[in-house]
Amino acid sequence: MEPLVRVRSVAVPLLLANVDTDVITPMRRLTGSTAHPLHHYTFEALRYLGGDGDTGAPDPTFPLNDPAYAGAQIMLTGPNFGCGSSRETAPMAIAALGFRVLVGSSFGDIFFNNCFQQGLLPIVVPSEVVARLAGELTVDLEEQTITAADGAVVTFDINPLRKACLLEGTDLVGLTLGLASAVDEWQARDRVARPWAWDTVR
Amino acid sequence: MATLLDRIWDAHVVASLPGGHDLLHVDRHLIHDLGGPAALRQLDQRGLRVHSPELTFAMPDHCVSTERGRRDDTTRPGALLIPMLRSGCEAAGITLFDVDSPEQGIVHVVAPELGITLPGTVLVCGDSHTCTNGALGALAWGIGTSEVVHVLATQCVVERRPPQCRVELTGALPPHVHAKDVILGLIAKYGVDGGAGHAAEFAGPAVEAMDMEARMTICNLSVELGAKFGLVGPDDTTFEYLEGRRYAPRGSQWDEAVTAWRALPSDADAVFDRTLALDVSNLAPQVSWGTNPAETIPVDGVVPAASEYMGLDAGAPLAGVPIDRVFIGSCSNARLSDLVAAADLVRAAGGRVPSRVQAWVVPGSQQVKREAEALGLREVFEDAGFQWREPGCSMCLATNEEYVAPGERCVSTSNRNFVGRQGPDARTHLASPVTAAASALRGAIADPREVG
Repeated sequence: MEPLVRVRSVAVPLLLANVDTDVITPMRRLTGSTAHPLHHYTFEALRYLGGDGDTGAPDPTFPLNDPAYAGAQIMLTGPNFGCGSSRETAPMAIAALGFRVLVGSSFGDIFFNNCFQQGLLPIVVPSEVVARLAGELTVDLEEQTITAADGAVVTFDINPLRKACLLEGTDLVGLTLGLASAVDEWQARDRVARPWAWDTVR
Repeated sequence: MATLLDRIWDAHVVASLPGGHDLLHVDRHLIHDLGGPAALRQLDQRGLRVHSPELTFAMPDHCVSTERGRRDDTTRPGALLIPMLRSGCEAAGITLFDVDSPEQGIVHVVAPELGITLPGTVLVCGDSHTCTNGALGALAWGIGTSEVVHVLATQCVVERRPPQCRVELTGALPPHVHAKDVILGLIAKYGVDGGAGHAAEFAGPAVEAMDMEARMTICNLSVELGAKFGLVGPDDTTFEYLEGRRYAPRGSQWDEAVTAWRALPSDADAVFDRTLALDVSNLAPQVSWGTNPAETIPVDGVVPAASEYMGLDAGAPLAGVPIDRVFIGSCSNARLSDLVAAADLVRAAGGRVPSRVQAWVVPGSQQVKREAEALGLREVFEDAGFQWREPGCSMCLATNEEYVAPGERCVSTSNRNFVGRQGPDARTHLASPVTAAASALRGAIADPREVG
């Protein structure tokens, strides 16, 4: 995973409310063979004319298709972005489009957590701040700031554990494997304390 | 002063991590054909082993066909993913309830009915409706694929203790009004973010009066209220449900377990961050009209706003709108009591499903199917023109290509009416099994109080 320290890029606005994970990665593109890689179908219903990534041309009214936002690594998102099914392919497909940072007023819980596993930083700021952000932004994870082109600075919160993982470019599995003896000790104690939780599944 | 969640949480902390996260031990882990193969493959690619294979249970449900005589390759996703799940489980030593096994079914139906889900345990699964299992007083929630990899590799999960919300349900349910109507009514009242980020504990006289399967329906839709966890304090109803189930404790361990479980429920003076409340006494059967579960109204109400996607005009009555399909199934409502209630209505109402309507009954598990058949429900449904199918997730999310066709309207006992959920341009109306059955017989959205 690529460490995420500082991202400077134009921010593409995708400010629809309640964009769910079915919209981000359509189920029919996850389960069979497809003509293109997954990220080709990210936001398929919104991104292509006729809602079909195989037959439809890019919809020019969809912000991600606007040449002004080509190469954007930052996306401004609407409320409750990523709600719905626990589908890790959703942040995966967004990351595969080249995005590193999402800035929105709220995110679906499971989606929010899944973002970090994909090296994607979801930032929660009040909706009036999202509305104000535009153009080129600089996100500094060390400092926990978003700086606009005019120099205006917005600070954001991030869990220190998530921050450490993103800065290092590692994930939680690596971290927990380092605590293996604590897990083994917990299990040994629990087998004595709650034999009923263990004996029927042996 | 402690809540049920606090007690289970505190007992499962293996280590405290920076930023308020805890490393929690996972007592029971469920995997399925949609997420399991990718997680097992990632584990393999990283050169990691399954830490505690005896604590993970696997079954195909999302991709499996529900046609009689089905095989892995009856569906394209099944052909790809089910053999991968099978070989991955075999290599790792994980118990698999395979396509042809008498235990196969939807993860959140099978885990409670086999006693895999137990009060006071931590249970996770790569599926957002894992909160269903919280009905038994387990701490249960849905995780992403990389978290599944984490659980397989470490038998632990990293999570932050959520704020807690108490949902107080009072009153007694009127005839033909069921758990599904209660939870849809609650979501309509408070919105899809009414419990956002919280764990929702359902309590109060209406919950105490509910059987386990009704509680599972309530907890199932917790996530549609925005709550990742749904919980009900374990009580005698829970213990009676669990006793004798295959993976439930036995003998003296059963008594020991029940003693421990009785100490779990939230204290009367426990403090919650939020309280939601609903009196169910005057609740009508609920039907969704829009494209999120909060867009729900009483079946005898009128559509509050026009919806182009749903093909509905503002002010139009919902009852009487012609339908093309009915789906009775899913981890919300495919348990025996759901099928009994629907069949009772069919029997009482008489008549048949009009030939232009396809009505499916998809039992939640092989066990549900066997028990329903023993009660004669299959004949009731088939004689009335319903299809009686094999267990699986099926048309709830159409992963197995069992779609509602574009533009078709379906009354569904599932939990999500999102755009395209049941297939491209499919129009979904969420409802209870009795409302779905009544609608099937009328060929239109129908009020079960008038039909049955």
